[in-house]
Amino acid sequence: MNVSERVSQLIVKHLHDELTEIESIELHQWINASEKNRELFDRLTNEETFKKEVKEFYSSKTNSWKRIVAAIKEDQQKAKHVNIRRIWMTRAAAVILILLVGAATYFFISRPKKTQQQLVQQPTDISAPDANHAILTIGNKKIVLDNAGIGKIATDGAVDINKIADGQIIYKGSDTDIQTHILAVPRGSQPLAITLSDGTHVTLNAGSTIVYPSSFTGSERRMEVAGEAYFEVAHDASRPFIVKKSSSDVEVKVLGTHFNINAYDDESAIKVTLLEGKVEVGANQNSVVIKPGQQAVVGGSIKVIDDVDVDVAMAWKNGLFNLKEVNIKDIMRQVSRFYDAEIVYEGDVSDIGFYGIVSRRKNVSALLNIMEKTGAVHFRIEGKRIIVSK
Amino acid sequence: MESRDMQDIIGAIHRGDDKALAKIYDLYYGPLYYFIQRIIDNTGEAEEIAADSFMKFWKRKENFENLQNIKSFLYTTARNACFDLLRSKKNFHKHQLDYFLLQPDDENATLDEIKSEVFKKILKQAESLPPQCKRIFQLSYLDELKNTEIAEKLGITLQTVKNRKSEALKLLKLVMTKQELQLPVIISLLSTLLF
Repeated sequence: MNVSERVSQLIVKHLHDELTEIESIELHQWINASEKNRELFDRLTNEETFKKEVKEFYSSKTNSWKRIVAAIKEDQQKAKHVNIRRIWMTRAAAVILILLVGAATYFFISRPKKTQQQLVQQPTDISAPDANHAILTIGNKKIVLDNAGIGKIATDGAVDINKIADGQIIYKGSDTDIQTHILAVPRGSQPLAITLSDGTHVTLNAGSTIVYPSSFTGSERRMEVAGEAYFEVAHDASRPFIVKKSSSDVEVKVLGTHFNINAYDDESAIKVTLLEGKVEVGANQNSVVIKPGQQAVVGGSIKVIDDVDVDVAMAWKNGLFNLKEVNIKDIMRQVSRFYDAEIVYEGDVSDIGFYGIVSRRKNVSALLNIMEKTGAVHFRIEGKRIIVSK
Repeated sequence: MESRDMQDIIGAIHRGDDKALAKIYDLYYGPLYYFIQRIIDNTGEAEEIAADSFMKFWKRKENFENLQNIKSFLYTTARNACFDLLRSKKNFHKHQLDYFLLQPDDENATLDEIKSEVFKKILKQAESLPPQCKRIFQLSYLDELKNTEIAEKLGITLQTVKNRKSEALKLLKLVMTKQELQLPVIISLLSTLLF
């Protein structure tokens, strides 16, 4: 038996008032051996501190276990084979059994909702959007994609528009008689992925809209974007792909490539980040060709940033907030679009920056708590409004 | 732990037996959490790092041959996660990073183990209380519901709640000091422990 096992045994006996004389001497020798020992003993034998600490022990152990169970279940759910799914059913049952029988947690009884609230949730908070709430407009017909079932959701001439299991929209076919389609992803929405008729893949962020033809005809493939979108352009040497920011002169011309365009009206500049391939970014009469890892910033003129952190630019698509060297107002604009929240500033917070990565699956409080921890800023959530102060 | 038991557990871990994960969790959670919490000082983040450390262990369960390996891995993983978290906060405010806290520290480690063991033992004893006592003990002591809330929730009278609470404490036979007193005094559980 080692020291900690022996001492803990003695302390428990002390708590039950069951120590023999010799054991009592042994325990007091340990207590007197160091100030920290005495301190621990006092805390464990004082009613108030004991209560507080046993509760912290119990709740942290339970909370962490919940996370682990959730993560295991999630991993197992990702498996695709039928066989593995069967194992998952028995494993899930086994995991639940552990909670009942095993040593890892105590008092497993079907958890009442109130307990869960006490342990886990904040009183007022904004939860992450659970789906994309995009609307596809064809002519004067509006299709709410949430409500559309899986399979064909519309046709336009010879072009079929399908929705697949994970919510993605896929265009198939081509036609010479074309119509303009508008796909809008509102604020407070998860990103939406769409494959256009030429095979180009676009992912749209919250608060973004794209305008494009049902099928690309002619010597160029042209479309418009407002907001933020990530493109994987299908290679077609004979037809350059041109993306224009709605109501502006800024155009990105590509041959076949992966890039992100951030073109929100409330951002000070349009940013095009290139991941693969080659693009030419043009505005008014100026244009600039950028390479992978570079970012073109279009304000009054076009500036090229070498060696940009692509992870930061792409974080939204990966379901994350990446706050590296980002000013608080930049972060709060992203928060505002994703959670569809109103941001109110009390006082001047412009000189505060942060560093960290937080999942976009969580309630907004997860992100705000991390920022608050620095002591540099304070947040209050009132319904859908977030108040930022120093 | 006897070497035969150790073999069994390691075998079960290699097979991916969830019960083995629960055993390892039970064995190491407390001290690991306290270690992290000393550095991070935020219960939510500490819980997250602790959970992540166990998850990372479980993801490479085949690589471990004995408990010491597992323990070292858990602490190293947690330490790195703490380091990353602290470093990510460093630039924008003046935090004195107590890097020395990140070094292995035997004295604190032992204290963490003692504290953790005491709570485990007490909670385990509470596990074997009669059902209604146990339920009420959990609701009042651990979930901190008021007596009236418990009575409403379980559909019993206030008096029953109070009786069961007293019974629970009596069965657990906990004898503790109260804040104001300087000398440890044996307290009558029925009358003075106002949980």
